[in-house]
Amino acid sequence: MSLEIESMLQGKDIVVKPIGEVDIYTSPQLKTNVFALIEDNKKDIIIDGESLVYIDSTGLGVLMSIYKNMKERNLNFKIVNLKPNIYKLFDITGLNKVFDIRE
Amino acid sequence: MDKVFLRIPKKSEYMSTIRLTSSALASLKGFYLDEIEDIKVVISEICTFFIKNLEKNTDDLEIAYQAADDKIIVTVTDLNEGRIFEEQLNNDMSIMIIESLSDNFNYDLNNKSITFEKIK
Repeated sequence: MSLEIESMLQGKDIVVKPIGEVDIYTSPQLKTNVFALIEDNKKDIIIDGESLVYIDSTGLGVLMSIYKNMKERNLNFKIVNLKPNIYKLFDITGLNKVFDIRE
Repeated sequence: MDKVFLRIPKKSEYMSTIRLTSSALASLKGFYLDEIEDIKVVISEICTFFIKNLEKNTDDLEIAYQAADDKIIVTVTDLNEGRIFEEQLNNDMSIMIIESLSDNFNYDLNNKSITFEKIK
């Protein structure tokens, strides 16, 4: 399974929906895509994890770099709808305390 | 104990193949869904660790599975030349995840191999 990324404007936010797996192979695609959205729109971003079936440490690293990029621009970054097996990795790495994660 | 060997190119595009093979084997041996998920994540993180920390990739990764009724033992060996240093294991997010999700975890820096065990 590879990765597809959907993005849509929802109110004042941009919702980014990764569909599939974010790993060492596909994570550069997520980074390039979201960095371009930040640059072009300068809006808050919500990552919707509803269709995210797998993420590895490199994917978590990409989310960290998105978070830093947005913080530097005073923009908000939120993650929603994570599956329990995916949330577990945020918990293990302590990133659940860094990111704004909601159900 | 059944033994299965997978020798696969050390390239990131093969990570999903490694995960699929690992989860199929763990499922065959009767692990629960959350245990299969852990096994898949740990093997994937070990391979990712070698890809990130040992640049050479002309040779393969070798994954040796030993599957019994009550546990699975997996050793991933990077067959490329080069060295892994103890410091590279510290503060690495992959290692943090591997340690948390496996029941036993050890490494052999000389042979560039990492082994973990998952008990049912």
